[in-house]
Amino acid sequence: MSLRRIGLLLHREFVRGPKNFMFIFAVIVPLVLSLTMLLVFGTLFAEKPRLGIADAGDSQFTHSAAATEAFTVRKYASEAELRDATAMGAVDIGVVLPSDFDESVSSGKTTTVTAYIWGGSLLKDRAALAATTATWVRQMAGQVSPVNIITTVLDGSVVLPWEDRLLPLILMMGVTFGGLMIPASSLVAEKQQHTLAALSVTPATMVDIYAAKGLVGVTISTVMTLVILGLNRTLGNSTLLLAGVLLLSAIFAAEAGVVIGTLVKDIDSLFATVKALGLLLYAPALIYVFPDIPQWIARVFPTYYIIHPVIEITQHGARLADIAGKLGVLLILILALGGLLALLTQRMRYRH
Amino acid sequence: MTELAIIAEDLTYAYGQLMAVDHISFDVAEGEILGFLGPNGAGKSTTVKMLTGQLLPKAGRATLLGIDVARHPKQVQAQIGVCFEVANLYETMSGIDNLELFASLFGVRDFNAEALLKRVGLDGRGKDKVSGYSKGLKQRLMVARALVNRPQILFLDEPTEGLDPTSAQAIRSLILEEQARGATIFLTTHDMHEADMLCQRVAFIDRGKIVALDTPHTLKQQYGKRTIRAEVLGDDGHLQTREIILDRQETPAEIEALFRDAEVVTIHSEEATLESIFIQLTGRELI
Amino acid sequence: MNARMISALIGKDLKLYFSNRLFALVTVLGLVSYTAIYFLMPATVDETLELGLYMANVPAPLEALLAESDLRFYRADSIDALQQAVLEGDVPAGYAFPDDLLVQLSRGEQVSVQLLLSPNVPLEFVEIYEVILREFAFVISGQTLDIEMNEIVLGPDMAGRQVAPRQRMLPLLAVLVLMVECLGLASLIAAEVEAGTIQALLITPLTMVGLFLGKGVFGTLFAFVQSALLITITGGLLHQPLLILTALLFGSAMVTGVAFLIASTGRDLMSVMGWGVLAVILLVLPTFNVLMPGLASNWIKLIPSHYLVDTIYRAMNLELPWMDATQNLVLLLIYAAALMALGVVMLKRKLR
Repeated sequence: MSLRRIGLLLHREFVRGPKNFMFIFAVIVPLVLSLTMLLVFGTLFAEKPRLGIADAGDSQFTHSAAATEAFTVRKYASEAELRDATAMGAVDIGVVLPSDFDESVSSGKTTTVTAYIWGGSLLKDRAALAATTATWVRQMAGQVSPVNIITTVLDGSVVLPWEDRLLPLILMMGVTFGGLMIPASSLVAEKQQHTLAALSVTPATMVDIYAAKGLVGVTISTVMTLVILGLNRTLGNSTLLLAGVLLLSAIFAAEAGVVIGTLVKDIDSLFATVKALGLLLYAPALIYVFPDIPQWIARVFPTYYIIHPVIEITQHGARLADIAGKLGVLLILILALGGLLALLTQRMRYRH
Repeated sequence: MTELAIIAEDLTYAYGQLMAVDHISFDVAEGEILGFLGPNGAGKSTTVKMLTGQLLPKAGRATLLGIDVARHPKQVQAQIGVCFEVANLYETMSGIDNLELFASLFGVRDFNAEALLKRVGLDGRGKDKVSGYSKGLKQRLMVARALVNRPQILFLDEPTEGLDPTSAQAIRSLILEEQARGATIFLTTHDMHEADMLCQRVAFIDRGKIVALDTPHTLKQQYGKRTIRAEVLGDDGHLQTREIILDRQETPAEIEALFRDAEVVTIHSEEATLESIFIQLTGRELI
Repeated sequence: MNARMISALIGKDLKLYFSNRLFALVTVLGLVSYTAIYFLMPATVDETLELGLYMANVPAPLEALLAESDLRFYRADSIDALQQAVLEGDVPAGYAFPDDLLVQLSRGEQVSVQLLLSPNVPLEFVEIYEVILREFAFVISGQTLDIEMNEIVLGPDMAGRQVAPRQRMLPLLAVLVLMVECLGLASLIAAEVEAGTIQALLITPLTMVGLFLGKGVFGTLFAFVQSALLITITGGLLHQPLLILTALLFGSAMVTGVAFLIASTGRDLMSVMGWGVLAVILLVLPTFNVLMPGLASNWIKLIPSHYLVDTIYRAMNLELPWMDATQNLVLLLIYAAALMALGVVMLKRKLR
């Protein structure tokens, strides 16, 4: 094995890669599906209300706004900028605060405030923003709330939203298209074009060739799954741990891709094989879609050890210790596939 | 007097610094088959491209059927047929669809694709997609496509290269049929035997220049050597080869000496080939 | 060059297009799935927020506030009924005021009010429900706010007649239809260049102008028919059909120009796909500005498809007058002509 040769082969894969249909497929399809899901389930339109502020002074109002998590707050340098942003729909309501706003409020004088309202803003957002801004101003004016709020979150069953249920499915697409299909299709294409035979009579070993193809899959799969989670705003708090899990998942998928690519003859057989393996790959994600199915069934499938840790990190804030067991199984699977690959490499050495 | 179908005057083309065709001049009479012979990279295809209006000459002029090709390429193209070296057919369309498309583009009325397909030996395969054709069948379709407009001049670029003997023979027969119809044929080929069989005249092109242009017979007369080759039993009991060049003053004496002094096992006379003449003229082989 | 030649070329391109199974499938499936996505998406916007309220006696100032508020209220007869409504998901939150609210207020005591929340309410939104409750309490207690709001609505006020998500989605679907055709045409041309069939066409009486005219007419009409079909099926032609169809026709010509450009840059079919995907991403961007207003700033106007998207969106949803649409249509036509000319020049260079 030579790092220089792997580097050379890797460079070739990346230069040639973007012309490969599978390469485009691996990047575009998970993105389009993510976006469609966000649109269909409406989460893309269910943003927080957006408040714009053009503060000529340094008002307490602006500080209160900055501290809130209920709204998206954007600050603008001038009234003109705020007006433009509101007209374009960048904020739902834009409030212009004069430089002496705080003094006017605390002195009890009637103060006039200009509020730009984007014509397309929702009534409920307008109402929420109006109530909140009024409360902030009352606080500044020294008014004391006449109520003491006792907040109770009722103990009912939490309905898992559809976008959360479907996320593992799209995630698995990112893993399989990027990690598995790219190395597999690339290997099969090289076999069909007889370029693999040409490579195998150079000093490059089969290990070099497999490593280069695998690395492309690992890179694409890791990046794409991170992008999918980012798009769905489910990166969670432990991004580094999540990236690590996704990297391991990508290695597992890439190993599987190289194994399949080595064993099948042509592109049609590759698609047939992947179709046949589809259930094995996607079953845990499908089981997750339907909570009524006993969830323990998913544990039988190898990809459960990819999906489960990712879900635990992104949706339940799990830490390394919480998912160590599952990751251990994933590592064993990676080693087992690695062993199989080593055996195949020995066998394939004299085939081309 | 026979009219000239093709006149090339001082035709020149260069790809950057590389002179592909270097001031060549020749003409082809109506109804004649001219073989254009030369190794790869000699300038054959560039010449064809200039003659058929696909390339504008850097210098010189090509006239086909009395029309200046550079000035009126479309007028010329309406009256010629071109069979390219590499198959460029619509593979996902049927043979008939391919022919009908080109017939429409040439404005041929009452075009009978089936009849043409029958002529090239593709009857019964016309409705099949071209992608399912063998190399020989594709080449026959290429020739058929070049014939859809009943061209007055037919350019054939390596039409039989790499084909099985049956397909090659079918195409050669078609070429002769077309000549009988009155078409002029410009045949580019590597195959000297084919050129010898089909062409009234052949031109040898090498490094962009025409090094010889005449009838195969005259070329053989002019440049070729007829020989006799004999195998004789040597003193050591092994066979030895002797070669005697014919048509010389001393030839009869040499033949007499051969039979007198040695035990002749086999004896053959050998004609000069165009290939040997080409090697003699250019110092390289036709590859 | 004559009409017979052009129609022969168009016929040939149609045959070739549908003999490419991938694009034929994408074309048909695309239309079906785009239509399905459209009808799956919400047809209306629920811009009101309904809250639960239990209050034995509603004081007059609050009654007035509730009447003029943009919020809607479900009046529960008892705290249990309120709790049930929250648990069953009828309302996300409910306020339960004590029966002796007015007595406590008159004594100047701080009143304890229960805020009952559904377990499905995200934590960051709790603040909004609390703020609304506080604002009610201030009103009930008679504390006034010395602020005069000068409210200015920018753009058409869509309150109560919001554009439905699926209507916002329609320009994206239309552009996607056009772009799939663009990719199909670019691949078709690239395949013809790669196979050398264009060379064969150009050696007939067909001129280069005729060839481009054939391809241009085919590409434009094919893209136009499909996008018009999509818009018709989804009911987009109910308002200003002539304006929308004109914009789609110009847009179809524009993507045909883009297809010429892509075909001229790609060396083979795969690189055409690579460049094509880049073009798709670029031309789709303006549709996101419709989906999520305020996402992009004025730079979006540099992208040619902006004028198509803006015209069809406003014509379908905002009764765009012809006078206002003229500028968009002229710019779209200029872009279409420029892209077509550039594409023809580049492709001509490649063919030579």
